[in-house]
Amino acid sequence: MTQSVKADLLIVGMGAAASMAALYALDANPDLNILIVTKALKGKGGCSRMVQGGFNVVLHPMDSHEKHFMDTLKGGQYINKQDLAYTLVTEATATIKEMETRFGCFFDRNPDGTIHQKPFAGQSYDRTVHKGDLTGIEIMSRLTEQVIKRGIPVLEETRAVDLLLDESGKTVTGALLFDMRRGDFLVAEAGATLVATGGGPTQYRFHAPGPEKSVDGLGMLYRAGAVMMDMEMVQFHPTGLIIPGSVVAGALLEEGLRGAGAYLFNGNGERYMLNYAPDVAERATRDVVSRSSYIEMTSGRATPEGGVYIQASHLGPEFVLKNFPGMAERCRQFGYDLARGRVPISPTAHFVMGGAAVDLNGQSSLEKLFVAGEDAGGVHGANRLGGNGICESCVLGRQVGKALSKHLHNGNRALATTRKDQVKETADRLLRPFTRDSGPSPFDLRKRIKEMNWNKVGVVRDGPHLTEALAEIDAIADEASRMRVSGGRNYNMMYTAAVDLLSMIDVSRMVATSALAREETRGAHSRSDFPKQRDDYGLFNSNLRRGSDGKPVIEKTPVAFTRKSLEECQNYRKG
Amino acid sequence: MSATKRNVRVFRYDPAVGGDGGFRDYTLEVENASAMTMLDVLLHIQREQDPTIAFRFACRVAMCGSCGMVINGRERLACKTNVSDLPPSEDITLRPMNHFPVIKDLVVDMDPMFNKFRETLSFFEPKEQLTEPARIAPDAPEREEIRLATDCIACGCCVSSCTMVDHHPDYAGPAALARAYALIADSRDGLFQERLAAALPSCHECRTETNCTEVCPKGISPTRAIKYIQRTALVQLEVTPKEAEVEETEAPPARWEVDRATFIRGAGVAVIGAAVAVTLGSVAAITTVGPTESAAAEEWVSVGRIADLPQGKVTTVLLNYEARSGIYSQTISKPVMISRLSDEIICYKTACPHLGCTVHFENQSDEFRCACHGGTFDRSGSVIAGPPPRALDRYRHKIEGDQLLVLI
Amino acid sequence: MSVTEDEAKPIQYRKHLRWGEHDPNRRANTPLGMWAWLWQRVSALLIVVLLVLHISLPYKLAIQFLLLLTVTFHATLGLRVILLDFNLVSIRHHRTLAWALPVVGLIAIFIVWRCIY
Ligand SMILES: Cc1cc2nc3c(=O)[nH]c(=O)nc-3n(C[C@H](O)[C@H](O)[C@H](O)COP(=O)(O)OP(=O)(O)OC[C@H]3O[C@@H](n4cnc5c(N)ncnc54)[C@H](O)[C@@H]3O)c2cc1C
Ligand code: SF4
Ligand code: FES
Repeated sequence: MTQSVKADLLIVGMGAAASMAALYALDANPDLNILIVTKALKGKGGCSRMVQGGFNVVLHPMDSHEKHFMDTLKGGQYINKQDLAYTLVTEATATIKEMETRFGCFFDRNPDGTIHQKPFAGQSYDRTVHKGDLTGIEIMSRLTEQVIKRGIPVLEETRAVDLLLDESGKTVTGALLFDMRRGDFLVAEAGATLVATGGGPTQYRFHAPGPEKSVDGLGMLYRAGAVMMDMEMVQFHPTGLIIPGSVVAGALLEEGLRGAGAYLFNGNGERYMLNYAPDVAERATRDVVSRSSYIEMTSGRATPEGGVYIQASHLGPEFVLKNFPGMAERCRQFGYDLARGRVPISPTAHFVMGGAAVDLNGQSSLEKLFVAGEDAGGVHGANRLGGNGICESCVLGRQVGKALSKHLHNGNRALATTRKDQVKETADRLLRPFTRDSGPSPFDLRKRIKEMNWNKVGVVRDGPHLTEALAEIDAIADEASRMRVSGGRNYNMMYTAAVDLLSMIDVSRMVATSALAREETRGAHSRSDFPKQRDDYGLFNSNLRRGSDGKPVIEKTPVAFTRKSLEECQNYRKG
Repeated sequence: MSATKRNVRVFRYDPAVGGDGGFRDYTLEVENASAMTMLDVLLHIQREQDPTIAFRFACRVAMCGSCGMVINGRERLACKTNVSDLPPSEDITLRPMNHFPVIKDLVVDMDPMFNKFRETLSFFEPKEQLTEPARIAPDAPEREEIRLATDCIACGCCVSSCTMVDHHPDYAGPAALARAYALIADSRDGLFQERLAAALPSCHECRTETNCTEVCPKGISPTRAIKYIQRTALVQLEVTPKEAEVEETEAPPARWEVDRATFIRGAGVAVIGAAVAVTLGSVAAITTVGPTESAAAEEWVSVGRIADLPQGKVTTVLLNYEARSGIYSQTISKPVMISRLSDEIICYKTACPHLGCTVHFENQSDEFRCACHGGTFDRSGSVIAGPPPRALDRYRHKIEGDQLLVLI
Repeated sequence: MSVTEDEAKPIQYRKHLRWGEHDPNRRANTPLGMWAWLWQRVSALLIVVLLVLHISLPYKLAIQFLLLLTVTFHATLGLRVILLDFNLVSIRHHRTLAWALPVVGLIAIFIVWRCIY
């Protein structure tokens, strides 16, 4: 028998979305029994902590929700779920204020004492709230402290491995957890389950999120049969550090560097951005710069490190050191001199725009299953604006928290019965790697899938490579079913890598399938065989669910222009 | 760059085996010492030599504070320490942090530290219910004061480096005190007195070793924080003995337990200490100037016109007044809830008698509620539900003309 | 949250490590502030001993000199704590304080002693 716990509300993850949801649900309904489970330590895992840039929100009278909304749609190349995006921008204002007044966050100020807002790419008004370049630390430290204050129980280093379903397969009853310290399973059943594990595309050679993340939530949701959307939309940040042989590779150099006028050079020493975007050059949007760098790198013009160079020294070493101290320090740690030399960089996988299809309350297509944060899809459309990510997690986390407290108030706390045998079947299957005497190593397979995704499902894609990728994913999945893990079960990191891999396989498959189905270039999704954005074709969302053979089944649904028409979007800030 | 061989000693402890644990040696080819962090060292060993080795990391860019360990005799973040930071002549020695129970190899249980955060009330509690963020200039003295301390990533390096943590089980440790300090200096926070009272006893355990200041990867000085709390208490702490007792029953059990050996050694030290104290006591007696933590005197403060307080409602008013204590005087703002629910006017403290969080009146349910632990009080302030040990505290008040005065 | 009883397999954590335990490089890496603290305690004990000697064997110049040195050393380290306590010197300079104050104190005492004797 596996140990089990029961709660009214089970929250998987402890990033910004999860913590906000927990706090708002509890404050509205103090007798809720909430249980948070996280793969890392309290408040330490995930991307919310790593946010450098900041949080987009309308505060200034000269700015408006309308503008923020339109910027978001423009960034998303019109395929956003408009109602979600509208909630995002309108509720953001109240959210950021409450984060200051209720939870004690303190963001940087203007000289007159009001909150300072800085410019960020793709915005018609300076609206990014920040705390130096460590905004995420401020947000997560304060939210974690509030969770601790309320005494909400948190199971640390306990990861969810699969969602549990009732007999009908339509209602989620909780999640199967794995206590990484004890090396044992734990069944958590709850009246409602919230998945907020924050995407995090670490299935690529270079990735910005911490390697602890492994798209678990997306994998879990998919396996449970939830409807997922727009999974082809993976954002690549153009400036990730290259550090050969180090896990730190892929860590970001701030976008502000390009904004301030840094140059990019290829291996031949040419400022290649002048060819791709003559007007704005390096200041072009993330997707354009990433794509251009990638083309340079794959056309034989890479630097010896396999990427391109960023140069900021012409701005003056003092300027660089004063304005980007953290970035200069990060480079210095690895022997690069940002202030005086060139630093090798590469596009790096940054954010998953896709995710579970949800309504305004975070309700997914399955009963009792809610999703918030990066795991949810639709808000950002085909591309996310810098500063809208943490905003999504906090704002929609808050909305979902409020909705959940109401939902659970209305007699919905009763636990459904988990399908007999699901726990046992899953646990047995997942424990098999411990019992084998030989088999492939999860470390090797993980490396393989990262290289495969980078080369075939990466920054620029094409039909033949995507087809190959799908075959290769099958091959990796096959090997993964024969993996072997050595050592005991307590805190076994090799086993962690093995379970991570299973999520990565499912998500890679979703991304490749959706990418193959979208025969155009839009936002972060770019196809060399279909290099144009086709508004007569591409205004759809790719809804995807797990078919009976375990492979994704895709269904294209037209975008609902519920608030703004296509023309309004297209004509907004033209040129 | 030619590869060099480095000897790496890693502390191993296997919970399935138990025992004391000890070092195991590995030899690693280092290609480029300046581009290889300690995390890379461990990952290489794990991939190539020993997959059973356990360590913890998440962000790998010094933002999450998961990878603190003792590297060559000093607390550092594994992701922020490169091979080239250590003298080539030394072995690389990796060992778990001090003062935290070891789960496996380099992985420790950080709950003792999180518990201390709770004990020192190191969480923000708004002074008043505001809808707009406070207007505070970026160069306001309070912000200059605590700027750095708010960057703490709770890595525990300071807790590991401080020897006093091991000798005083009640000591909150540098990390929790650094946070308490940032809150005490924050004018928006409403638990000033309570937190000061909760943090102060711990501050007395600080021996100014400055180890914490030396090791903090974010350049924070918990030492400075501790001194700040002591100085603030010296002039501003109101003595409220009963609050301390209440906490006793609620606080989670101390996790830094004293074992017998420490106790006996402690007792030995106490005997010697007592002897020395007797010898030097007379000197001390002359130099002591008497107790310095002075209680603020009570005074009548005007709330305003009674007519401005709506009938049938509870109004929270912020009182600003000048308080003199010793040779210092300062402006204090204090929230008071004034109830005109019945004919009688009642003035309540906003601090919950449980742990001092802010209590609000909810019109819908006709109850006072505390968000922290769900304490609920009826309209007369008596406890209905939750952990509070007694009814809401009241202030005495009087009416002079059309003015309401409260005894603070 | 309620946990069912059955076979919650506990995991045995190792008791926390102590400062210096299993730590071959600790001594060499002990920061200056720690030494300042330690030496102040040691000098306190020395003062007690020297004080007793000084009272029982009066007018021994060597003892008087040693006592003076120890007291100075101890006092300057005490001064370091006071300066930090009241934030009269920024914590940034704590290392400088730890060596400079005793050095200056001892040199001053030496000079004074030379002037008198
Ligand atoms: C380097 C970097 C910089 C960024 N900068 C910005 C920025 O400037 N502005 C902006 O708007 N956005 C930024 N983003 C994006 C932003 O951080 C994310 O969109 C947002 O933080 C996601 O929040 P979340 O709460 O959904 O997930 P996260 O904060 O990622 O939290 C996920 C949580 O789930 C836990 N978890 C994961 N798997 C499991 C599992 N299987 N079981 C249990 N728990 C699990 C994790 O431990 C973690 O606690 C940045 C992202 C990165 C990586
Ligand atoms: S004060 Fe510094 S050393 Fe201590 S926990 Fe915070 S960041 Fe770590
Ligand atoms: S891994 Fe996050 S601080 Fe080192």
